[in-house]
Amino acid sequence: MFFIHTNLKAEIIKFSSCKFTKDSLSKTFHDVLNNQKKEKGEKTTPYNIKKEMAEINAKYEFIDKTFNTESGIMVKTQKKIEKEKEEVQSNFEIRDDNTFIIVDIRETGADPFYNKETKKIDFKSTRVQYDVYFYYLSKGIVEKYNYGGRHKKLDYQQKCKTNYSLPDSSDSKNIASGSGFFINRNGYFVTNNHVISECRSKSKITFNKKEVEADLIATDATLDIALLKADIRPKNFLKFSNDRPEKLQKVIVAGYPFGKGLSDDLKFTQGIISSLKGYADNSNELQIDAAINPGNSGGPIVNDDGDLLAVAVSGLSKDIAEGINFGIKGSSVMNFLDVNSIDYTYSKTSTFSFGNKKLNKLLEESTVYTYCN
Amino acid sequence: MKKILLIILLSLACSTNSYSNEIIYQNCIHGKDGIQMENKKNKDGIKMYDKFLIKINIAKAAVIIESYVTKEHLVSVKKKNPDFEIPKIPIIRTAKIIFVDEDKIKYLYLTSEYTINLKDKEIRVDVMEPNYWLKCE
Repeated sequence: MFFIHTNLKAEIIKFSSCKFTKDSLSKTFHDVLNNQKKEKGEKTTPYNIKKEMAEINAKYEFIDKTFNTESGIMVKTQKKIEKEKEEVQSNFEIRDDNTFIIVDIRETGADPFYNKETKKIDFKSTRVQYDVYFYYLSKGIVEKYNYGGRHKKLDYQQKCKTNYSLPDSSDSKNIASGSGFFINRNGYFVTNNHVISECRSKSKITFNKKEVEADLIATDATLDIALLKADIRPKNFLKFSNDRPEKLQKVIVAGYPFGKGLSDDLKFTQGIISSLKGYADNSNELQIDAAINPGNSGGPIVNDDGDLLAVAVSGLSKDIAEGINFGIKGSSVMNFLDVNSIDYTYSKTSTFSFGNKKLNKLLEESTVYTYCN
Repeated sequence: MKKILLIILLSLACSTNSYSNEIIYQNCIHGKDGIQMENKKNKDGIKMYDKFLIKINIAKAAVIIESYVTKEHLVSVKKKNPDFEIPKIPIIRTAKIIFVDEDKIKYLYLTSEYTINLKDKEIRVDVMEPNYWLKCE
């Protein structure tokens, strides 16, 4: 057994959606093709790395890697289109707080020749090579180097999404933050899945100006909804609207845009329901024109009475469009809660609208700032 | 009395091992040159492996490849490439079995498909055939 001392705590580090950014083999093939073209007197083409990498990446459905620092095992899962999913576990070494290493040995063919008997390319001998994989954790970069004889060559480089940040870096405190809201008095609250999916530790909420940990109960990545539970009894919670949402209906969005960097006060924006469908005809979502900014994710979208209509989820980039934002419909959230056997409440239809003061109090008491590291 | 107890304990331990669902292939001979993995030397005459094992764990649907490379071989690589990092741990890789029947097991490893012929204790790979296979005990 080997024990390597670093500041790394026992944790799961995830590299996901890895994409090739450099590949020496594609360059070699390109050069060979160009040489053939030259010999034939044809026009050669310059090596276009973006195009080449796009072609390689198009062959994969996904490439993910998960490191467990406690067991020292990395699980690589990748799937090529129309091929079986490949899953390989490798033991890895911790080099420092930001780098893991895996060393592989392999024998490859050397001195190729055409074998007349088998009618295949064969090799006169073999060559032993070492593949050394460097995993740069905070940047999500994988580099594979090849050592054979006196030469050392970068075989490929991949860039992945990572949930790791260096212990001393400024972004290490909060990996993700967003908004959420209570749906009953038992401390259950709803937020977006993307607010909690990259968390390396338990999510937290700010409740009565104190940090409270929350357990993840259920998620639906497709819907982008997560259900969590904090061991508290909130003063208030939101009820689901009994009425179907309608176009032009007035809506209010509550949440913590840009986290607490802006201020620790709950913020509101208002607008109307623009469409009963979301992006690409998504019938689980509706479109609103009230502003939704980063940090609003998972926050409630309510009507005048403070009844829940939808959960803020995303918006089109402000560079492309203005006032096109989306929420997950309350009916979809209810389905999600039903499946997970969680109690929630419908509102009673009221002919009286809440005053601003009451509405503000309800949302202040039922909306939370959620974050994790 | 103590002796009887010891025998019972030992037989219990042995029966647990035999029930471990793991088949171990060892003393594997490389098909290309007919040399056993533990006797392989590189072209500079340096012994490459202290031990080379392939374990088939049916219960976990996994094939475990264990390579214990000699210190001398690793040092020789570092001499040629000073920035080569000598690994401090053995090379242990676990690949998922993708197909199994009475005669053979298939698994994917480093994007190549490997087939273990159980009757012959042979491991073949879908690239660089027919010479690059292992025959084990």
